[in-house]
Amino acid sequence: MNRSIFILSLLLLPACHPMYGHLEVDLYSSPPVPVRVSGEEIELPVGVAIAVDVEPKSGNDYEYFKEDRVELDSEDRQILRVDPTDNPRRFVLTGVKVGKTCITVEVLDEQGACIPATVQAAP
Amino acid sequence: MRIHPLFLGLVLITCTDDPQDPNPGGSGELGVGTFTYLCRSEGDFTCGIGQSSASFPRAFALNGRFGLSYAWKSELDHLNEPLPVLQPAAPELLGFTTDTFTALASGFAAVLAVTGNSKVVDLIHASVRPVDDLRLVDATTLPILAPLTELVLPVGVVSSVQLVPLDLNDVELSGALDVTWAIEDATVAILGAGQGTGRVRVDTLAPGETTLTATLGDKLVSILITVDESIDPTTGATDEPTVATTGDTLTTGDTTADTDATDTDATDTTATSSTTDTSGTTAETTGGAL
Repeated sequence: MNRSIFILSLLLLPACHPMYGHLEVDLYSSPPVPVRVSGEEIELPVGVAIAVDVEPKSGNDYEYFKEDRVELDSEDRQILRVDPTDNPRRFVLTGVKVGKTCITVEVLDEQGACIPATVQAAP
Repeated sequence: MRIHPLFLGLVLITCTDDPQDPNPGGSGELGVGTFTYLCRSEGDFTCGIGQSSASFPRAFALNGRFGLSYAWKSELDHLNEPLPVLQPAAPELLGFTTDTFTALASGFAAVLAVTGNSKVVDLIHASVRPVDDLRLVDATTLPILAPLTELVLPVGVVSSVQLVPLDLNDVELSGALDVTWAIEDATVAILGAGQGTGRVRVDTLAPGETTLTATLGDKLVSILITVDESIDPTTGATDEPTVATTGDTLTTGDTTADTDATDTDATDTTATSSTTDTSGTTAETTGGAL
């Protein structure tokens, strides 16, 4: 009986971790031109840099802790540059060249969806 | 006590920042430090060469060259931390070599302050605009940028004229540009140092009238130079340049004048109308972040 409980506990253990659901993205800086920022898409003109605050949201009942590591990167840094800041939940996104790419999200070493990003021509 | 409404209005005007200049202090958009504009090349009306501007420019000229430096807002928060390196966000919009940025395309061009561990600590945007119009000003009165349409000078003096590029809305555009100067009648006045830059020296030789023309790309602007022998060059009482509203005399200058730009600096003249560095500038105090 005891052995069964132990095995069951081991099986349930992974489920106690949060599972990546989506990423909340909020604009932190005030860019000189309008940009579109959300967890579903990013749109900004070439040459413009924005700082965004991100918060991962769990897809199950276990929420992320504030110190849980979030990593953002660009699939094509020739189009969109993603840089970390001193704040681990704040990133600077920069439109380098006109084009489309996406931003990869990694939370606690778990790969999330890639957020589509468009760098538009200068207004 | 009653306060006159006119006085209140005056106070309001005095205390209000220029609404069209969003960031005169050059504050970084992440609030960590301050960006300062530096004049890297000769002839930038914004400041003297090697000096910094008292305020961050509202707009930058397309093809203009300039420098930037960065300083922490709070030194205490960054003790023993090296200053970040400044990088243009989009090399197609803003070129960078050694210590000079070049505005390559119109639009907003971000500059990032990046630490040694590749973290962005701050950023600022430069608004780059094409040159739509040109204005000539008396270089001795900088940073006042009153348009000049005529310059009345005595014989045998040296004066300096500054070109100020403007955008569609007559906003002055910062950055050093390659300007071609010409004087129509080289017997009346000749060009001194400054050919190829935004500020040129004019040496008066003999009484008469001539036209000074500055050309930048496909734009040009001219002023009439009157050399009057009745003006005493030593008293300086009547050698004030005539300032009037701008009126571009679109004449193609006859470039037979002396265009020697190899001798002394355009700002090092000593005659009555000589140019000195702009009074609105400050020495470079922040560490070279570039």
